Amino acid sequence: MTNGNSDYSFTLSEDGAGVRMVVLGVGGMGNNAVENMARAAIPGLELYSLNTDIQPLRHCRGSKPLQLGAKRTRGKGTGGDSDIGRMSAEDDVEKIRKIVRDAELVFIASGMGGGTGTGAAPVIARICKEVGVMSICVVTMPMDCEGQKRAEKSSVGLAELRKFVDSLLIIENEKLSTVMDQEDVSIIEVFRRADKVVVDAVTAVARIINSQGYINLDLADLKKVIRRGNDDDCVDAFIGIGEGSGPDRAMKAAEMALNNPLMRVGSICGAKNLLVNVIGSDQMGHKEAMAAVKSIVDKAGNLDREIFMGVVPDNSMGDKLSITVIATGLVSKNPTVVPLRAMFSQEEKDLGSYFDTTNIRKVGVHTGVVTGETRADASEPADKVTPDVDLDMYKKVSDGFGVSPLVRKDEWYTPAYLRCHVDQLATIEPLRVTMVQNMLSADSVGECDYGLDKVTENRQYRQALYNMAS
Amino acid sequence: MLNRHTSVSAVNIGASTTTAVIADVDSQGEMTLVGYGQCPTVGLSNDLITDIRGLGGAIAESLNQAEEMAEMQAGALVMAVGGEHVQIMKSRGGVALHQSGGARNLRSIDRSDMKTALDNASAVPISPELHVLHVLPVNYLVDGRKVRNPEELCGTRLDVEIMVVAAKHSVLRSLMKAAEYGGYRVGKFCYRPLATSRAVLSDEEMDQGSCLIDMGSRHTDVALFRENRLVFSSTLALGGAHITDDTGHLLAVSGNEAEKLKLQYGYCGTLAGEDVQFQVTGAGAGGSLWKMVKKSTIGSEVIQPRVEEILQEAKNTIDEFVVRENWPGGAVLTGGSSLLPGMREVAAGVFPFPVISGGNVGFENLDEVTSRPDFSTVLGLVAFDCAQKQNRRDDVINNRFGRWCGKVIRQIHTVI
Repeated sequence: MTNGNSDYSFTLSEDGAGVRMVVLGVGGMGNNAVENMARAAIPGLELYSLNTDIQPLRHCRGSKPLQLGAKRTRGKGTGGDSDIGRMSAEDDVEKIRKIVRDAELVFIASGMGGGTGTGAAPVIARICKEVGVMSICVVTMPMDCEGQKRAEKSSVGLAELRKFVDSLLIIENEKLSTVMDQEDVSIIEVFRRADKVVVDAVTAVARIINSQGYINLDLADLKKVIRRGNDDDCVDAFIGIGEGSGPDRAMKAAEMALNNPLMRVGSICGAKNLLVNVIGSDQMGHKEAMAAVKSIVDKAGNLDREIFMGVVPDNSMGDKLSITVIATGLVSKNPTVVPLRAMFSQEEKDLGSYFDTTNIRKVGVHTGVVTGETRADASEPADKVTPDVDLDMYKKVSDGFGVSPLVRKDEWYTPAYLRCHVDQLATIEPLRVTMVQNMLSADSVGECDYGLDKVTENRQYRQALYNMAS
Repeated sequence: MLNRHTSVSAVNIGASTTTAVIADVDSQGEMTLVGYGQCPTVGLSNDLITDIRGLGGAIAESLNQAEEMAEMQAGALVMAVGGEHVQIMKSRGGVALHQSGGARNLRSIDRSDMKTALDNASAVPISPELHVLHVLPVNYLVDGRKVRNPEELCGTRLDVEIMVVAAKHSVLRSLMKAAEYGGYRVGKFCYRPLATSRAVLSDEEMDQGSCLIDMGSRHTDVALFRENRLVFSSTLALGGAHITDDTGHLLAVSGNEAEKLKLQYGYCGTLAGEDVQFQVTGAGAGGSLWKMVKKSTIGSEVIQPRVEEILQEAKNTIDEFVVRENWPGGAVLTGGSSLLPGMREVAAGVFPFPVISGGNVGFENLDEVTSRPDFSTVLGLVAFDCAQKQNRRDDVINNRFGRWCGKVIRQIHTVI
């Protein structure tokens, strides 16, 4: 949609719709992603590649190169040091600011774990925030085989990003091996698959902005969904595109859109904002489209939210139907779905606290990474282990009270199968809702549809997701 | 020394069942079970006493069953306290070992020195609300070096690191009052994992190091024992009742119905046997809505996640300890909820060491009811009481006055 201001001139795109979208690929991974985007020829985007290492910048064809920290690194890269990456970005703050200044939307693509991506991306996000531009960051997290230090660096970088960026998409490279597990798949193909997620995300957003729908979604709607809310913890987002053709195409497209096994946020359950864009030919069925949208909304759970729905008639689609889902405001920790029968929490509220519970503290601490982002394995090198029994867990409390050994968490009150893993959350609760509704509203006597068959059918699929998550 | 033939009565008030046991202890210290009883717990909700008379009734009911079987009256009760009501604090204290006459006449450590060290260590300011249940030595250090048993060693200084287990007076009083309403008197309280360990862990396991996982219906105790001492303990507010509630939540049935279904068809891990289908009656429409549900659905969809959660949380609490100490031993699974088929298998997958299902040891005549893990805590209470009495007797004998008394009494006996 036009924003009324026709004084913009666009450098790379010819058929832009008046909205300036900038994509910055930071670091090696970011540069690769931006090159893929250039190859995909998505209209309406300005592509930039940023790096401290000059070699990839020399090879970038579809995007404009920008070297960070020229004096500091002299074009040789950061050597994996995210501090150097950060300082290199700080060196070129003005150049970055000039690029993002008048943009409506900035994509930052980077891989966490190295030097440039981890260090520079948060700086760029900060600049965007200062200038007042909306930023979406797509990051990849390193694989387990890359080691603990890289994982720690990524977590720190991610925490930094979370402070500034409006929406965050996290792709887990570790899950690549489970998704592309054929024997003869090449390594380039595997990494291209990860890049594809980045390209898909950018394509999805660009398409929403550029296309004119019958029920139209424009930049303002997108901003509402993507813009960081008041709750600073919830910047995680989910973007998916699905396509389907033939019978059941709408449900196929919906399922494909929601199935993004590479992302850390595996399901949209608990999203605070939801945007669904349906693109199909003029003849796409009302019932099928609405059923697909309803299934997506059901999967997101029954929170009180505004749902942005767009319908774009595009006759060039032919028989195909495409659905784009953007869900933001997810929490990176396991979201707690509001249960239909919260029996226990009710009971506790009624009884109140009979005994003084102020001293109940958790005993036994996870040894985890700085931000609590990932639960890193609590294994220490052998030479650090002390052979004596150490009672430090029980702190000597001078006011005469000890520590209660009881551990009680609120989340245990909701059934475990609703919470088990973020990736696994999606299917059961909406089915159970349908099941109970069916039961209560059935006019006939006899066998009722519990929908449990669907649960068992999906079990293998979800087992695969579970294995990926663990 | 004269040992009396006594009986010990113990009651464990769990969240779902109250178990009582009466045992005979002969002069050698051998324990023989003479009566047991079990009944559902009433008046305890979310670990708080809501109906004290009801609870008294439950205690009375279980003890009546035990008394009928034993054909004798129960005396002072031993009761288990655990989880929320308990406060644990650590302390450290020492005693100087005075030498007389220089290095040639080094005195070796004896039990009175150990006792003095323990007394010094337990001199911590304890809130007046708390009543100290146990003072447990965890580490003995002679001249700063950890030793296993300081008796008969020489040194300049004996230190002991202790764990003080205390409970609030109010809670203990409420429990005693509940017993009074039932017509009984509580003589002693014991920290629950300490009691369970006595019934379930063999001497070797207690010595070398093992983890005790006691899964009750609303609480799971996780405790680490090593060198016959309690080293770490934690309680999770998770148990079999949560598994039942999850099942009920999915199938939309009431608590009792869910419990029945769980007992009959519940399992976790791999399904052993046939994947049967059973009928579940839905709520509404006058009970005329029903559906056939497969056993594997319940096991793998609902029970498995919850069981894994319980075990994973248990592992999390001991993780730091186990890794830091290079824990040598295995785990023993006990408690009513551990009877769920496949629980041991899932636990073995979660914990980094071998897990076995513990049976009750130390009693001669356990029948098939009392050898179930339900009874482990209450049998452990009996064992704990016996051991404590034995220790006290030993302490009495070991000082000179006691020895003189013993001699006198023996002489009187020979005369009479």
